[in-house]
Amino acid sequence: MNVIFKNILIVDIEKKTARKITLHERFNIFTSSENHVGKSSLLKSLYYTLGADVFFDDRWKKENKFCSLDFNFNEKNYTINRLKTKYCIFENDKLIFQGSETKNIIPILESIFNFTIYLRNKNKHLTKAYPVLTYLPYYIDQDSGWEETPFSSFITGQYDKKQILHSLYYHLGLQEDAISDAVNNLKSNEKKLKEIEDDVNNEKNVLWLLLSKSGQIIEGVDIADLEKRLTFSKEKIESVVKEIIISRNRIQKLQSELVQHQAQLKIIADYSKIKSDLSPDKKVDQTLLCPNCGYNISSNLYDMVRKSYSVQNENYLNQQIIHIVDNIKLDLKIESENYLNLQNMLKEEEEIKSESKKPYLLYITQRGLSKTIMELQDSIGTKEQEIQKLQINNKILKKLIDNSDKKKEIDIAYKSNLNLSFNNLGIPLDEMNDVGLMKLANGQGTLSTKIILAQYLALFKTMEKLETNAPHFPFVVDSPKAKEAVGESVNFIFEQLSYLNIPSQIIISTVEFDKSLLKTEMSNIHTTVLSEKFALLNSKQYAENENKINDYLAIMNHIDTK
Amino acid sequence: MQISQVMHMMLEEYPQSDFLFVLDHKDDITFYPNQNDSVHLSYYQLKTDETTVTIAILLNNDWIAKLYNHLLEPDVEIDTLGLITIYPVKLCRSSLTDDKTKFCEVDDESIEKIKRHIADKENIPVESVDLSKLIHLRTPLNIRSHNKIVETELGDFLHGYNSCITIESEKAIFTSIWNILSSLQQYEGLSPSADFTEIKTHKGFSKTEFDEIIKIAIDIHILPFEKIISYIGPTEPYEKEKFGLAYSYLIGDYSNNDSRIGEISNYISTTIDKNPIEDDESILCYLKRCKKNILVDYSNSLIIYKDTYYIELLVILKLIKSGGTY
Repeated sequence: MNVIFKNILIVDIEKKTARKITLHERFNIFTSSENHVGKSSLLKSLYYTLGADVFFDDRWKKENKFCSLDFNFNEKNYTINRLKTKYCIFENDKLIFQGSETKNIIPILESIFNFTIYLRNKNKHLTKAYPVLTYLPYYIDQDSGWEETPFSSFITGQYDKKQILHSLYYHLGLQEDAISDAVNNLKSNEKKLKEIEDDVNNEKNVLWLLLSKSGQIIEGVDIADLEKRLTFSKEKIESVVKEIIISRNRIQKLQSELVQHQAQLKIIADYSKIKSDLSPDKKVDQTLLCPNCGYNISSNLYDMVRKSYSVQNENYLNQQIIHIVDNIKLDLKIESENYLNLQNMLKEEEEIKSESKKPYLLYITQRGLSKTIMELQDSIGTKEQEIQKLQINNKILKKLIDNSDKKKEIDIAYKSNLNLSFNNLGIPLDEMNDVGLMKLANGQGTLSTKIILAQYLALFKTMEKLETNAPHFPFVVDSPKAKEAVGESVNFIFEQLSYLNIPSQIIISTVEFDKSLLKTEMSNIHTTVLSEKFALLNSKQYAENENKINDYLAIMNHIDTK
Repeated sequence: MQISQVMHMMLEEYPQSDFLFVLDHKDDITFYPNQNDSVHLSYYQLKTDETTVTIAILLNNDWIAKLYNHLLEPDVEIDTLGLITIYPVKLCRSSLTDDKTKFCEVDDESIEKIKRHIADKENIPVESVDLSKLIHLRTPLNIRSHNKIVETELGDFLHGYNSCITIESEKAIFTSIWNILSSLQQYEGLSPSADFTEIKTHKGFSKTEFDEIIKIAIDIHILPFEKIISYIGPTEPYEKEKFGLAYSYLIGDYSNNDSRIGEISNYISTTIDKNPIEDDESILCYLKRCKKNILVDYSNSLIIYKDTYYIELLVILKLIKSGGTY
């Protein structure tokens, strides 16, 4: 999968000058007869726009530069704009990202290119690499690029050499799906593991706290006994309440009875006041049959005797009722006292219950604690099992990631291609001692350019051979400054690159490029000649692209740099 | 005092006669030794003078002559003609100080004087005057405390009659008899020629009535509450209270002169006779069973007692008295 740069628009927002360069699919050559026409700055700006940091000339004043790069990848057109550390990215003219700081574009670039390089940080944790390592094999800086070792054209101060070189494996297909998944899984597992471990630690702390607390509270308290006591207390209150109700009913009944007795007493008193005529009427109008002897007795006589009886014994009868009344009064008194006692007892019971809410609270707490402790223990147990599973799983994943056979395969393939490249470039093989991806060959003397180039070529050939899924970016080569080497070198480089399918787009800058001097016939070469010194950008092009520039800057200006 | 005297005489006569006393008809007191026999009788005159009666007073006031005149009444046979005084009677040569003295057995001079007086009054020969039926009785009563004395006598009598009788019953009996005798005395609607039945009904008080009053008094007596409860046996407090209330109501009804009590009492007596207590039946259960039966038989008139222990109380009162514990 090839990334093809389409255009780059470079704008000096201070000077309001601009330059839009169109790039072509295969070979793009930027040439001039003189230096300082801006070729290098143009080339540096390409990957700079994509988030890589490069060594700009101080005169370039990159902080004033707004760059906009159009590129195509996977049949989609993208535009990435950069102003200092602000970025905005469009996919088919649709804004898909805007934000500041390079680290924040890592995910969006990952999703665009479907490519991620993982590196272990100081804490041995896998982290996603900055975009610069994605472009590492695809740029050779005019100065730093041709010094000593390859792959040193970008500013990669945040990574050590080993990390940087390790990233090359990803370009050679180390980022296979399985490993990628493993990495992702490991990553997610580690996150999950940490969360669970944190949870478990928290729960253990809580459990420890509860156990120590409950130990204080529960000491000497049997929960069953507590339950029994509380039940008893409840039952006792219920029983007292029942007794109170009975007592209350009894009092009401006794009061009602008392009223009735007193009413009878009043009747007797009233009757005795009016004492009716007790004269007997001897006229026999009714008879009663005596059940004992069968004698017919006069009902008048009966009534009369009864009247006499009641009048004569008024005191006696009253006394009898009064006696009952007194007894009722006594009962009432006793019952009232009983009622009051019961009320007090209830009050005491309630007070005991509220005062010694302790036992009750203790009970509640105890119940709650026991339940919580059990739940916590269950939860910790389950989580610890999960941790174990995750740890085993992670071990497997790490092994998969770290000891991948793919790495060996890559090494062999690379070395083979390096060997070939050295041969093709006429580099003595003794220069190749122990050279590999992790141990680069130093460019020395007149062979320096070749040795460095050979390693790039070997890398690209390996990519081709291994048919990796990694995206292939345009190879941007700024020819070495050394004048004596220039003419021959560029042509030589061109020849070497023409054999490659990867990368498909090559962007080269050089002085005095003469197509006719190429040993092989090459098509698809687009040459751009830059002539004016220090005037890569101009007002005319700014004016031509002003609308677009203003639109982009409007977006960029809205990005919060915090 | 006449009433007290009759009561005194009744008590004296009770053991030996089926008496009928008539007050203030033809004389102060008429005594029939057999209440169903209108022929044999005695007349008594009660003199309440608080001084010693002399033979002069006796004769000048025609006390003896009036008594003797009863002998002329047709269709009757006089047993005794008695003169009753509080103090002794001073005759010519003697004094009548004993409880009972026949005039035919006094001193001769006095007999002579009395005979002559009667002969004059009756206009008959002295020789035909017969003093054998004339007697003098000295009453133990006196003007000021005759009723108290006779009440005590009645009490003593009743105690002998039924040793379990109560003071309350005694009071009821005394008052009842007193009131009856008072009303008999005061009755003035009877003509001198009234027949025996009329006399008996309106002016007479018989031994039967006396017995009846005693029986009623015993029957109606309301025993002390605690005694009733102790007879019933162990009871729940609420049952005791229900009996207590019924007790109060019964007393109230007595005082209120509720005439239904006699009627209910009669129902109860009938029911008890029909439904005797069973051997293994508790008193309380029996009372409730009786009540149930009574209510079935007399539901219309007794419905108001359904939810009270009124009937149970009357039943237990009857039971206690008939059971001999009274």
